[in-house]
Amino acid sequence: MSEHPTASLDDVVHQKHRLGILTVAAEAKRVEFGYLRSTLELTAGNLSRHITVLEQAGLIAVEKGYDGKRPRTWVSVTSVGRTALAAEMSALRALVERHVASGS
Amino acid sequence: MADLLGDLDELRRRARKDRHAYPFPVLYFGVASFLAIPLYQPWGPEALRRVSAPTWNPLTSLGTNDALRYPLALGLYWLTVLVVGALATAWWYRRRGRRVGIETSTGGYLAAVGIGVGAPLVSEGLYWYLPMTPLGHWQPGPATGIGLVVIAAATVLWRRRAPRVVTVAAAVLGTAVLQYAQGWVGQFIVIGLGLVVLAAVERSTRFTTITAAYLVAVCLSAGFTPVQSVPTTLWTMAGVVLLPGFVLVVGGLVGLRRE
Repeated sequence: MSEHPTASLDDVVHQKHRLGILTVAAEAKRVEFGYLRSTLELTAGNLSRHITVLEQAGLIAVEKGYDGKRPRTWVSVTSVGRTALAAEMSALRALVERHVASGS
Repeated sequence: MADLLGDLDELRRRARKDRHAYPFPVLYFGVASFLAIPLYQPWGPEALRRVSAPTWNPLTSLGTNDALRYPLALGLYWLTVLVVGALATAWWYRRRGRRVGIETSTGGYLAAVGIGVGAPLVSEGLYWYLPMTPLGHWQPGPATGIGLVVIAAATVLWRRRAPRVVTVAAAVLGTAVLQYAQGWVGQFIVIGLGLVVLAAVERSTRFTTITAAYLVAVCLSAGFTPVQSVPTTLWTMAGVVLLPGFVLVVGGLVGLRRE
């Protein structure tokens, strides 16, 4: 019997906001902290905590710099993060398919 | 769970939309195409004699030939348009990315234009080498097919993350063969390569449609521009830019309005 899809879910990636950060970052070369905050509708402190978790897991890279005098923080997804996101998405899709199949 | 997947799809769509910046390069190359028209002045009755005496000139693979009155000026014009356009496009994407907060990678685009601009050197080598081989007797049609197949193979190699040197070599060779066979639209092949890569990176349906329409326009221009007609006039020569230029200008304006 095949393994249940929930076994493939990663606790670090699975959290809704962290999944959102990875999804947006995977679509671009890099994404700015303020863009993530407004897109995901998070407070700066909350977003910062999620970014720290993802960075410590090696899923994203954080780059701090300046745009003129304004400090800017840029986030980019690593190859490990891209792989983890793909695995998470396929596990989620498998769960939904399983749910639909069992309900029909 | 299905709601979560739906939310993530929406996030992905929004991120892609916020990255769109294609109207600038599309409009730039469209306007540049029309500005080239005065340089397509033909030589007139002398043209046929001049065409029969070719000289080493890599710019012949960038949309020029010796039947023109100002081939060097036109070749240099297109070379400048391509190089400045590529750099300006990269700058534009970077500037917009910083302003919006989400940046698009333009490395692949610059590499594609670099390959397209460098390939004429290889293409010119083919021009001198192929006439001494059985391949030299091929008509442009088969050579065009081979060029497209090699470019398609380079795309597959790129997607499969093959060693970069192999991918680049295949891309340069395919582009060079294509420009050897279709030198009269060589500059549009370079623009097309860049737009295909940008459309793939942007993942915009509208941009992909504009790029596809542009490639069809280039094929039609390559096939039906009456370059060999006698007498040659400015419009028989410059007709090659009209359709691709029109598609780019209209596509750029539609993009400006919708994005």
